[in-house]
Amino acid sequence: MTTFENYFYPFFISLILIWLMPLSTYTKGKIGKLIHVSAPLVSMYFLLQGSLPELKFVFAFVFVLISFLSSLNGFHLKNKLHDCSSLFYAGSAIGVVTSSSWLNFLLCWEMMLLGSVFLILSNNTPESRSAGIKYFYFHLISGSLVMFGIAMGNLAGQQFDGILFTNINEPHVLLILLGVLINAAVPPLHSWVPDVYPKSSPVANVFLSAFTTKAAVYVLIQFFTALDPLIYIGAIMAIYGVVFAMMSNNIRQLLSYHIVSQVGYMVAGVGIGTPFSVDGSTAHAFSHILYKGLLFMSASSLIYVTGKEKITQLGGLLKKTPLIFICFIIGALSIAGAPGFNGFISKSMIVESAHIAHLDTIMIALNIASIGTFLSIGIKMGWFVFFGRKNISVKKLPLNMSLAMTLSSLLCIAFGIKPDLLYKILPGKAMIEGSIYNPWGKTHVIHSLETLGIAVLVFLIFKKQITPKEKVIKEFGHLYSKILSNALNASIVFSKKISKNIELETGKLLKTSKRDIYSENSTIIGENPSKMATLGERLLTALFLVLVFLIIVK
Amino acid sequence: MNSIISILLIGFMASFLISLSGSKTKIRNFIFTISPFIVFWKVLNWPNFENVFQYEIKNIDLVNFGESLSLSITNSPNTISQVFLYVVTFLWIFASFYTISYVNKNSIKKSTRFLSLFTLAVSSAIGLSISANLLTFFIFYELLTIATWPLVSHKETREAIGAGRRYLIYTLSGASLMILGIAIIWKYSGNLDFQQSRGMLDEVPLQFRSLTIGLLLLGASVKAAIVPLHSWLPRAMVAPTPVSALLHAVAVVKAGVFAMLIMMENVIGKNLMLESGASKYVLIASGITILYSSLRACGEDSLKKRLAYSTIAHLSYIIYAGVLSVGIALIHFVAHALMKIVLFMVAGMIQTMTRKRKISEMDGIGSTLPKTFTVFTVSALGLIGLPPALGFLSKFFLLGWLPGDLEFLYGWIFVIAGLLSGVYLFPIIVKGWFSTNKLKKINEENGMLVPMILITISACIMTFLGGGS
Repeated sequence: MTTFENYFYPFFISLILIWLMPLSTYTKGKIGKLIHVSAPLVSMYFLLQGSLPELKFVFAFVFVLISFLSSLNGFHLKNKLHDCSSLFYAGSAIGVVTSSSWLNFLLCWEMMLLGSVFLILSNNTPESRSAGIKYFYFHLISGSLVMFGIAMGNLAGQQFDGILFTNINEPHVLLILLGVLINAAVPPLHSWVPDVYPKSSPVANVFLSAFTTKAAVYVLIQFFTALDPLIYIGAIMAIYGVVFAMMSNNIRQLLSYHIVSQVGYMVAGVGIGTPFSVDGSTAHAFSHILYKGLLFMSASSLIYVTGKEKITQLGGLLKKTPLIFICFIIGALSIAGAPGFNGFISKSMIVESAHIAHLDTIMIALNIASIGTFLSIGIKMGWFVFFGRKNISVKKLPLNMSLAMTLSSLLCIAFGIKPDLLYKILPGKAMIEGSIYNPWGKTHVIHSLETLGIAVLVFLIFKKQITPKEKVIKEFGHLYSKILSNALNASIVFSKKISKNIELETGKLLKTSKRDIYSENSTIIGENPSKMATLGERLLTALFLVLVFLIIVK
Repeated sequence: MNSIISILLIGFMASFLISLSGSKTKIRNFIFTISPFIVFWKVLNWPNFENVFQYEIKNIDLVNFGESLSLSITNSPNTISQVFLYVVTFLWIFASFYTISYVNKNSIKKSTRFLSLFTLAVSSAIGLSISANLLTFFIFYELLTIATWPLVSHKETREAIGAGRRYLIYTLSGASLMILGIAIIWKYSGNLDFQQSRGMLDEVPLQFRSLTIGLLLLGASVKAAIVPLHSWLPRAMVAPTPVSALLHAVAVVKAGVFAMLIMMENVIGKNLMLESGASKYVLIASGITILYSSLRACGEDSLKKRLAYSTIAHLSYIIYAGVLSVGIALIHFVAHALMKIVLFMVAGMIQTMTRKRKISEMDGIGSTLPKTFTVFTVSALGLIGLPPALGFLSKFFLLGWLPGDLEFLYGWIFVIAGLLSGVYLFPIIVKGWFSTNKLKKINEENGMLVPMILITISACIMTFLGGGS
């Protein structure tokens, strides 16, 4: 490979987006929007021309794909900052998954923070402002830790591809892992996902749901394959996200908790660490980006047409917005892993590999999470939003939104029916025991249908409990961020107090209180010699004390 | 040889001529803006800079006092001095244009005195960097103090005079400690020339060594604003903004840091620093300073004062890193100078254009002064340690140095301080750009805007050049 292919080309795919950003920003009206939508297509062209390693290609491909779909979804929006920061965000996320040197990676990692934080802020409401600042702090810590790890391990000049960290007792490995886990939304460091995403604009959500967490999954696959703790972390994430999703009332918060849950599957797959399970994680990231994008698109359409986003305020929308319903159900079936949709072909890989590795508890946990997923999204949200007797007036849905949703739904179905399309491009080609994995095996299908059936059953039995209520969720993440912010405030106040004391003491020492020697018009120091003399004495005394101190210390 | 003296003299002559110019403002402004160009050009063409070791080191005596005491400058300053010289002369060019527009726009009274002393202060900073021995170093160090004092008190209000007085008392008492230390060295070794290879305290008897070290470091730490000797700096922010920008973010405080680094590296020497335990004390003092002043900055509402506390923290970054590795300290030395001068310039711009000083009043300032605030955003992000400005790279290097037994404490302080700088800078950015009240756009003054933009662009370019190498 030439230097161009090695270094410049991968970066180029992402830079195309960033280069087209100012062009799109400074072009007024529809043309600017067209550039915004077509930028990912240009990037796709260059991506298909070159030859990236498989893992990078899969992630870059799906990132470019989703940035096209979500720009299409946001075509109607008139917000320059949204356009500009979303392209920047997408470009730097693609940069993270395609870069092949540590410094490039770090630069893109930090640029991703900037892009996403301005994307959140572009909503320009008081809530989005405080949410953006919170998001910024989380990712500033993450970026600092990754930077610290890279710097401490002196990795900057070293090889990037093909390194595998296995010993987390080394401090720099631990630091990088911690930084990446913050980005992967691992509880208790996850609260930036469910707290911040519902505050950003609905259209921006589609971008946000795709990149940051999945870029973290990419880094985990690249460097931390087969790290045992990740299996358990993943399983906990999967359950944790679902539990809180069951309780959420805000549709976007519900979907955000499901990001935590679904990323849990991927993290578990990385932890199991066989080539097949890693393929499963990669495939699941691919599918997840598509169906989660679809779900967020339908959420953004719902919010667009009704102006409401709480499940308790919605209902009876089936007849008024049939297209949104169909797309939403496709997304819900995909995320639940129903046969024939793309969640099925990837999720079953991870569960299967847990089964092969004899990790039965993990497998059970992931299955329970699956049941919860369908219960909370497919049934709870689907039932209470689209059925019932409420009468809500709706606006007309813009063409571009329906187009984006339809396209994503078709993709979800296409990959579900023809899994080979995805398996072909995976790093390990989804090979299991010498042959390509077949998700349509009898046990898998039955198993998956069982899961859906149990979910329906649970809903029928516990319908009352599951009915959404107007309630603010309180969880561990809020507790510690409150403690931290209180501690910070307290220490700021404390430092002010110290400062006041220092000022007072030095003021006494130097006699610079307000009623002091100086009138308005005197400009020369020490007009009064006697005062200067006392000052000199004081200084000498201070000096003497310092000397004594030094001598004693030595 | 002539070029070295000319570098020193151009500034002093310019200052003198400006003071004579009286009411001829055009000539005055011309001299004020052209002199930095000449000096910078001379500095760039200094033949010895690229290969210091191939040339014979020549010291030029300006005045000889006898008894091996002389006022002399050198043709081959060490690395620290070179960096200081480059930074100061480079930023002087931009600051001079900014200052002229600032003076015109704000109709500053007694502007001739202001400009003349401004030039004098920068020239003494230049003299500081090319001094050949400790005595010369000290004289320029004090000249810098005295030239800056009337600038701090320039407004001649009660507050300004109080601040000037405080500034003078702090820095002069620091200087008196330093001259004591220098006197001890001179008494025992009889030679004050900077040595390239070893420390200068070898001939000082053992019982006086720690005393001398203490005196030198304490003396230098006043200007480097180490807590609790820092309180002159936030008060000195009462001065007109160009003074805060070039002098209190670059020349004066950096002179303090420069003195610290010179003391630690060339005068005391690394070995002695470690043996005497002084490096530990400096680490602890600067570590406390970083945390304390970062916290203090979070609670400050006046923009200039917040920046001042941030300056105190970042100066201690440099000293903290300088104890362990001067090279890394110098990267942050440059990075901080480039970013902080821009932030101060923006503060001055906002004050000039909208008369706003407090952060709580700056809702939607981004839509009022879009270009200015873009520059502010880039530089503030750089200071937090995010791309594209140079701070990203310098933070990376600061984190990367591993000093053995202090490893754990060492890097974490930058992680925490980086987070705190996020806490005190990022909300300003959010407040400035995102606001519900729509404000009218004001025409930005080009003379003030262009220097900021150029400095920011050069800071960004340096990131990518540095990243490439």
